[in-house]
Amino acid sequence: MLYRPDEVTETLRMVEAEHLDIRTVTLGISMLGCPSKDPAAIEAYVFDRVTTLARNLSLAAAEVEEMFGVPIVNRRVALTPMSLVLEGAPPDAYPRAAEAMDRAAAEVGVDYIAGYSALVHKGATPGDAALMRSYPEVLAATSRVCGSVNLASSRAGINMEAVSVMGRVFSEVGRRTPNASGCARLVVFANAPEDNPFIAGAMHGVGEPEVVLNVGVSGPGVVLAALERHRRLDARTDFTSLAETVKRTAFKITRAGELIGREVVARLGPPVQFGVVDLSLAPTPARGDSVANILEAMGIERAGAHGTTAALYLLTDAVKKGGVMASSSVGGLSGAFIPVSEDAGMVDAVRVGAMTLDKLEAMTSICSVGLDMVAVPGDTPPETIAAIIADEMAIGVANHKTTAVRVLPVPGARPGDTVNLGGLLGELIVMEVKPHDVSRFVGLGGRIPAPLTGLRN
Amino acid sequence: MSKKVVTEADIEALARDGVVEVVRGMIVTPLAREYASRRGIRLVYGGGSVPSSEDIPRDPHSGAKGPAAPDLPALVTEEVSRALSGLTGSGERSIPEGSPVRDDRLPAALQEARDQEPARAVVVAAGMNRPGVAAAITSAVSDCGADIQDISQTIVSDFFSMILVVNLATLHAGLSFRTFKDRVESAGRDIGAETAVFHEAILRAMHRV
Repeated sequence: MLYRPDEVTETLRMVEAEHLDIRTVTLGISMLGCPSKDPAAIEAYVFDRVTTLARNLSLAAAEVEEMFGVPIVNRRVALTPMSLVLEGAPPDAYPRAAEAMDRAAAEVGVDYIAGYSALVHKGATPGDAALMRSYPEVLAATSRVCGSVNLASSRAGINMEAVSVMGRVFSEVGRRTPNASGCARLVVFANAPEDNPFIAGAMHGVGEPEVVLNVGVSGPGVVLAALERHRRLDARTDFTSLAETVKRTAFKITRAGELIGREVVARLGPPVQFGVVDLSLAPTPARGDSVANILEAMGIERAGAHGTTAALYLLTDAVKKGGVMASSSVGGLSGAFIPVSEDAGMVDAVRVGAMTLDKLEAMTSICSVGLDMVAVPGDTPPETIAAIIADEMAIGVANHKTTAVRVLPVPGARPGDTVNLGGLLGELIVMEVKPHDVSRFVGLGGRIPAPLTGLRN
Repeated sequence: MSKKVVTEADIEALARDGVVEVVRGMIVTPLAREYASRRGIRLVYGGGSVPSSEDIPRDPHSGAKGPAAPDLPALVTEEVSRALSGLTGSGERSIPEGSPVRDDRLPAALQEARDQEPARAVVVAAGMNRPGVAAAITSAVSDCGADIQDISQTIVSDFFSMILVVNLATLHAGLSFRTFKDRVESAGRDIGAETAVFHEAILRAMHRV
């Protein structure tokens, strides 16, 4: 036999029973060639370019899906950070460009289009500032546009002025969109990667080629099932053998991801190039497709209990090692990220009080990407949100890793309330925020300098 | 003429007597097609510039020029309706029969990629054993012209399981992978065996270093 029956059935089982899927194929498109600063011209350029280059994305993805029987859950588009394209354009160009992005995404049948973004880790240009100010209006007026702001880097430190602005922006977006759902399309970063395929933080960095397809693989369900099988079959389970099991599984998932990405690229044709496979274990709200459940399968009663950070470290490290062996094109975030609302196990853990904001923050220091899809009461002061952001930025800057915050201040909500966002975004339990005043600290302004380890030359 | 993207908004402006003429270089977006069909506006291809030979994709198997594989319009339709259902919240198909969306043509690159597809598929079937189950599935495979290269078949108590590796290079002309998959899977289901068909490349990627 060319393939052993157990190999064939393993693949089949992963797809059919364990939710192996490709979480996203994201087409990154450079917008740097925009020839004009005229709002109408920018609008036309954005729309024409996206609809031209991405028009076959859905079709190609559907074909590849059919070929291998592996679902591709999302098709998405990411653009050059729009602050670069819009710099110097009049104020009305900002909402118009966003609206063009929204329309283009609808035309080509993608649910989210990212790149309404700015990079301000050392300071903001007038264009960057205008873009950040436009978020409340833009996110309320569109339904597919996603934005991100890089507020800090290990080389530049933390731009605290911008942190404080984004604290206010999150509050404002929360007020202006139902259940603060607009905040689900806005994320702030430290050390933002330029090739991240995952929404809302996707962007097409300035170092990227013209058009590139990045793939986000998934498969918490597959890892979970592998761990459970391993435990059943092998009485001598220890940490090393757990890590080994995760590693082998991640290898297979990544190989499948790269194959599928390259097949989609072949169908899109030039000038589209294959970019990276992002190894992040991305959960979905489906039962059994949860990162929290993997931690629990390792013997932790509830995600968030003591020991969670160690378990998450083991998991992420093994996923990376397996993935790096499988592909030479690994990039993006490539860390387990746990958008709280999109992971049924995390939602359960928050509901029973095992998972708190503090524990989440601790977890981000070791491996996961950030405070992602976290709901807080709508009356949380903007300064407090800025301080939550600042803490995450500090963790990212000091550890040379990506960290992010996507927080939803839900108007009228109290800690413990349930907010349902529907679909892939899932369900949120509003978390408790410390009531103490931090406005004097946040208001100091300026930049927190880069760490000594940023000076590596 | 440079490329022009024709959108939903443009359709109305371009229509003359309920007809929009699509010339080379124009790109009509899926939403525009949908809009046109809803408004009863016909999209007419050609005019002064009839599509050149490279615009008409070759059939992947026979090499003959002609319309794309028959499953493609359905695929396009499904994709567009999925995109639209996201907009309207209704999951229903909103593309009427006879819509121009059903008339799309494959871009050249897509066609090229199809031609380079690895030529083997794997068929996995499992279910209660009964006379004729292996025959039903293997004859569905051979009816499509595919050649069985390897078989593994076992019976454990009453359960039947079979894995086939088949060569798709000999697939009948005009038959797409999708059609092959549909036929074999439904033949298996008809006789009570859960059947899955997928390309071999994924097995190679996952299990061979």
